[in-house]
Amino acid sequence: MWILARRRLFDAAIVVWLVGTLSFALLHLAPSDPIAAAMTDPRVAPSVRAHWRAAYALDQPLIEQYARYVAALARGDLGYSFSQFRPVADALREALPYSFLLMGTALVASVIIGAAIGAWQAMRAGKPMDRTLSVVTSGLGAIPEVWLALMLLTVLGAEFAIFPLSGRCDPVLCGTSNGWRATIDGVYHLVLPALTLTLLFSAVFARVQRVALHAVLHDEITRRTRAKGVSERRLLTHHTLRRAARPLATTVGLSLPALVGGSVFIERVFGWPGMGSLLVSAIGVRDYPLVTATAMIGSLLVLLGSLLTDGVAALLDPRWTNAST
Amino acid sequence: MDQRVNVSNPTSRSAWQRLRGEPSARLAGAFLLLLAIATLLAPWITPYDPQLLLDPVMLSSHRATWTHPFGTDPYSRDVLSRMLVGARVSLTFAIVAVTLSTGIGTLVGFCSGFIGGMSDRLLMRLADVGLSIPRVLLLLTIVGLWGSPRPLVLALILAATGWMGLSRLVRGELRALRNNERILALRALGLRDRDIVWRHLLPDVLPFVIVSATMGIGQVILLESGLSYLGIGIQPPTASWGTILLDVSDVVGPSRWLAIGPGLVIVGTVIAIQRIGDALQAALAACEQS
Repeated sequence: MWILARRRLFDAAIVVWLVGTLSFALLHLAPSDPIAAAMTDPRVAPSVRAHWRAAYALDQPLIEQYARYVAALARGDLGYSFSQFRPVADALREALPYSFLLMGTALVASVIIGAAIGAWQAMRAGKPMDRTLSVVTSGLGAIPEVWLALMLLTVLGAEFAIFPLSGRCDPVLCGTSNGWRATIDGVYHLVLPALTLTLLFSAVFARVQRVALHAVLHDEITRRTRAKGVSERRLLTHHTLRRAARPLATTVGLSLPALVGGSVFIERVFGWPGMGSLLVSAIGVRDYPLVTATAMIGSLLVLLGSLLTDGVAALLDPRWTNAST
Repeated sequence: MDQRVNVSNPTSRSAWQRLRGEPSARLAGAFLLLLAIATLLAPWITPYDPQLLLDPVMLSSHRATWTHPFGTDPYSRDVLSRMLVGARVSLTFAIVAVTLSTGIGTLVGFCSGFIGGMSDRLLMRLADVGLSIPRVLLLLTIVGLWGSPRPLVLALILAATGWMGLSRLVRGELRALRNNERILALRALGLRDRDIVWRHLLPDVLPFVIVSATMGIGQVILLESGLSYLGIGIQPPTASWGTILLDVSDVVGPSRWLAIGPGLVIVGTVIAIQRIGDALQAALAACEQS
């Protein structure tokens, strides 16, 4: 097990390096440099541009810039955002908690709901309810994230006015340290964006769980366990669910990139001040360092997340935990 | 998953016959055929000029009526006409992007699975890296640095970021096939690698490629609508399904349901495509078994 884990970590390190190098390469292959993009006004004197280029070492040979870039990244310095007049790391530090909150809530809810629905379906496979749910879960895979968000917004936000339309908190309560009321308000604003992501991803997980559990429920091992006289309930809680968990855990890991991508759209629709909104607004003002750093951090978080789910998948799989190596 | 294929006479039916025997696939096929015809005839059957501002005062974001079944957008353009013309853009875009990514995916899969060795390890590592980077973030970065690309360039970028899944699938199949007895026999008979690939291996993996391409078209339609909504896909005033969603998304008041028509068309199309893909997969699998 440790050999495999080490190999996985080594792969991850390579990906980290590649992602960093890729964002450096993209930054430098781009048609204009960060200073030119930030100072589009033709009246800016060439000497001013040259001054700032020198200040950010953009006039140095590429190899030296690369070395500086890597060294800065290693120190956690992600560059300076020209549109926000502060270090990129500060902007990200502000946005990331909201992204984590949204994606974390949606992920946990989707795994629980998806696994439950999938398991429920697998136990009555072929029955009308199972077929209906299969149609629903595959249908959800055909809905554009943006449109689902807009529809939920129209129905629950505008038509019935149950939930707020946009933002992360009520303008009056925002910023006040009004303990529980601010918390409730935050949850209230979180519902719609999290619900959109949850609907989309629980459908994915339900499909996987249904297939996985269905296969396990009808295999030889389950037949023998049942023949030993294990009760149906215990069979499910102690045997089959556990054996079917691996595909689900793998799918969760594989859908992290889609979760991050989907949350960009969702954040945009609901005005949720996370990483996606930050990235899209940075594109609008051509803030190069902010764009590349946000995308890079997003990719690294996905990598970290998939390492974690790999670990969970390994722990869930008895073949792994019982192996002596 | 749970495709119920007619098993009355499982041996003698081709995949095509099986596919046609599946009622839901027929329905999906009919829908797509209708859509394709409407898309081809779009310039002649649109009730209004899709770019024409009909009446910026009275018809701005008007809700659906008999004369405008999908309503009008904030610029008073007829949404139905725009959907018909936009279908051309969105569907062509999806087909081009998927054709490119399928080509790359198949090629990489062959390089990896048939040649093996160093190129296999390198390419699969590359695919792993590609799969672990969120595609949307990469696209946003590219758009952020280069500005919004032309549709063809965007299709190329989508292809360059979307080939990984298929290449792994093709590689897996090839590795399973490469050393089976039939291929070994062909090699023993003195067939050149090129002929083995073109005449035997390619036809063998083609079903997977077709299914993956079918599913891919649905995915790209969804992605295009999302990217265009963010303002970084197809650029207005060109009508595409995504830009139409963007146009009607900010409408409030009594016409706030405007987005439902275009959205349902997108969802219907993607469901139909996925249904065909699923049914095709089941039909091909059933063929292989018999």
